[in-house]
Amino acid sequence: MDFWLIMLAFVAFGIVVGAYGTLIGAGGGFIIVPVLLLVLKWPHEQAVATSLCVVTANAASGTISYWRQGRVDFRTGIQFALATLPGAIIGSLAVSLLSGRVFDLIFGVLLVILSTYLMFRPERRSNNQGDTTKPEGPKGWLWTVRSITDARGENYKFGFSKGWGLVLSFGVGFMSSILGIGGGIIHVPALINLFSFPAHIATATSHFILAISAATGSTTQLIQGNVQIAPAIAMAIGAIGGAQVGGALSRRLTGRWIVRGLALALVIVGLRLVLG
Amino acid sequence: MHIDRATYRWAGIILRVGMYSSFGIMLLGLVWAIAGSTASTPLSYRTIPISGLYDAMLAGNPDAVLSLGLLLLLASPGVTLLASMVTFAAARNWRFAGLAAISAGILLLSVVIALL
Repeated sequence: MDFWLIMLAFVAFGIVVGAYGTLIGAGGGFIIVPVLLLVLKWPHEQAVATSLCVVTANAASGTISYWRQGRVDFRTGIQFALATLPGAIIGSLAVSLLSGRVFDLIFGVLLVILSTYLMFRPERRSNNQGDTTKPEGPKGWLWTVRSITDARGENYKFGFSKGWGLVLSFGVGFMSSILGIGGGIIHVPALINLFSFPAHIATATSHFILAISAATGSTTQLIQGNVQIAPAIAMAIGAIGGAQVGGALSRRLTGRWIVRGLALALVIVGLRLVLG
Repeated sequence: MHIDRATYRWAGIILRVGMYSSFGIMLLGLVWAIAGSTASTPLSYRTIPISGLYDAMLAGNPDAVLSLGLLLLLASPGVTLLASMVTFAAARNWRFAGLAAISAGILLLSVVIALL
């Protein structure tokens, strides 16, 4: 096929990945890596490196969109981003121990079960106002209350245990290294279901965290020369545009639909692990 | 409203400047590559090593412009972190200034290790 037609296809693919990824607070690596590996038969190293660049572009562009909407919780984002980094380093060291077939099967099935729960879970009374009362005991470890008013004047008030949030972020960093993904698809459902984050704040903050954590990995990969530059740029250009579409879509959708979109992403990753 | 107005404002501005400028440079490189590409010299699929970027730019290699655009794009979140560090410090919020500094430090360290 003609070179420029292939590039055009990469741009179109980037738009889809950017729009969908931004909508659910993920970078899109869970779609890009399997396509590059299984469809285009790229070497693993190049597929992951190129995907990371696109994830960074998507996350940075998506963060701009959510920043305009006033939905990014920067304080929480910086702390959680910091906690993902040691997890990612330890994960990269443990990857050879945990990446066997049995682990893939167990984790894949768990993801499919989680996605089924997210798809059919009972709806919360309010997406914007969570419980801010500090729970007794360890559940209230480093209890934090946030009140964020977005650009449309909508107020989000919620409370969460920052201590457990940092532990979760460490775990997300660890799992993202094991699975070779950005981690947004684990972070967002956990923030929504375990930490009572409103879906819109969770996706926006996850994107900011992702921009920082993916930038670390992708810059390293770029310097080492593992990135396939032409496809990376074509997909990044598409993802930058697509992320703006995803951000705009997010304004129109309720938290429930965002969670359903997330459940679909979890099924994709789960099935990829189960089917090998 | 957000309690960290300055951080929020600057983070957005830097991300936007980084995104738009890298987008512009990548487009420029792409147009240059299209204009200059022939059957015998197709656009490269590989990045130019960072050590050779300056020389390749001087030599008029469009791949170098593309690599520079991508590098700028990837650097934007890191620069945002540095700006957050400054704005938090200006607000005397030392704890968050420190956290931003540690995050930026880890990012920088990974770049240095990759360069070694």
